[in-house]
Amino acid sequence: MNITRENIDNVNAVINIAIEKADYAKQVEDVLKDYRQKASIPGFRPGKAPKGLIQKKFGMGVLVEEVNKLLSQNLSKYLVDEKLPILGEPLPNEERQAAIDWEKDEDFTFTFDVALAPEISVALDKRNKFKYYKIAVSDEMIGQQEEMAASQLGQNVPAEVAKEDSSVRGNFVQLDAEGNEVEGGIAPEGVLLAVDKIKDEEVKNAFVGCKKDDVIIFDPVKAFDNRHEVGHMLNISHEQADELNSEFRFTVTEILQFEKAELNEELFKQLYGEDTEVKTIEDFRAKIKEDLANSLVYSSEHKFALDTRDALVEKVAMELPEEFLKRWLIAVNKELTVEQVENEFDSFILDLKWQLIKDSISKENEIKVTPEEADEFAKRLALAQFQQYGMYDVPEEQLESFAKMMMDKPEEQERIYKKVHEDKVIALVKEKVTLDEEEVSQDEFNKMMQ
Amino acid sequence: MEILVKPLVTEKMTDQSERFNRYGFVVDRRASKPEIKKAVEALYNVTVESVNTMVYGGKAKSRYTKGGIISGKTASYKKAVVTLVEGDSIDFYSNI
Repeated sequence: MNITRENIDNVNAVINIAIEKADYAKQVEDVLKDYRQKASIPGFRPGKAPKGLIQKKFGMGVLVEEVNKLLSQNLSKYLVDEKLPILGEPLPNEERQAAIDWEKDEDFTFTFDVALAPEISVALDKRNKFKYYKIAVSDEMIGQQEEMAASQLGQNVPAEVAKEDSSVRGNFVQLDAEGNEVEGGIAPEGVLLAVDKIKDEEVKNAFVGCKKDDVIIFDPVKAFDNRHEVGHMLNISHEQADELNSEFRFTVTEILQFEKAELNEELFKQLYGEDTEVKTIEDFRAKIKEDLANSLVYSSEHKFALDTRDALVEKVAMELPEEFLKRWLIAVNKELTVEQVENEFDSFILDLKWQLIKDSISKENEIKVTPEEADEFAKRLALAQFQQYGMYDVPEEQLESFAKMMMDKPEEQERIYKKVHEDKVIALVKEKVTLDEEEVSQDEFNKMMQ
Repeated sequence: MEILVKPLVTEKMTDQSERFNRYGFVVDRRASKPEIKKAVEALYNVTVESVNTMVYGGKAKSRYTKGGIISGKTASYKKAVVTLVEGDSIDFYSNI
């Protein structure tokens, strides 16, 4: 066994591996012996077949297999031992690889191309200026939140007279062409109508200002201009709704007016729990502002991370073995065509560069992700998921078991580790460089993110 | 006279080949040890260390059938066990 390396340039190298008979003979022999014990060959009892016959039948297959095994083991061992920072995986060198005659050759030589990661150093100091956008919490945003809270907890209150935004409850009775009640016709009771949903102006005007026990005659299909909706409203099948063509008498039984909740202590308690410190409207606004600012910090951080990535990738010059990487991408992803690789190559290179920069930064500054940090992040992720479903108060054990479930999946675990690592790198960059803070409004920020 | 009639492929001989590098042949009744040695060396391109020979007599065989007793005799043959020098070997299966 003899492994040698030739550096072609800074980022490309060729590894030669020479395998001699002595390296594989013993393994091949052992495997064949094993085969001999098990193989059943016509004419011989199991385990009694002559060695020569077994050799003839399985010898070459075993040889190829063993040599390949030896090759991959030693190649990866070599790469680890030499601490070569390779990109992708070694690929067989198509030009220099000599043809192999498995039947006659006893010594084999294999040639591999490898791509080496370029040596880079990322200089981070206070002379570097990075933009950091802070999103200003505008009064308008607070107002919106306030409004939302109020209408979320608002209620329908009975009213005397219907207005344009009221809801009216009443009973329908189907009428025939002469205006008489249809016996056994459609007559649902207690139907709730939203006045502002009525399309026909005339009917709408009839509803506005109506009182309890008022009677309104109208054609619902004409009024709502949507047979499907009318079908649901009158509680009839779609087929019936499609053929419906008659007037109805609507008797008002109740008028409901939606009223927004009052912003008082009771509402704050409903929102934030019984023992909240939010007592006055000022407290409430401050709390909204704080919450908004907190949630906007994530956006700012996200933008900063993206900007940092772009800036660093542009700033740190590096030489990459592009030809090799293209070849590797095609070799690894069988379903990719050459054009696809060409098209996506730029974004791949960008990711790769960023990965290398991250590695370099974390190596220089000894950034490591501990299992505890990963667990902590998984828990935060779990909490965020619960919050999406509106559960803010999740017991600790439940979070822990959820986080553990996530960490048990290898791919999920890797994702979490990667994310935590990236966050740490970004945090370090943020610490080391000068931040050029700028306050922008939400709109401006959104425009930047597009 | 063809000296080597056929190789002996039996479990017993397989075992002997592997352990002692000995190969068995059915040979012509009239062949002598030096002749067998020469023939094996020429045919398989190996060096023979020694040759042991033995003559197996034919066995009387009889069978009871409807038409009465049929009796006969298997052929007698001469068997040679050839020991090769270390390192040499014969592959009887090379043309399978």
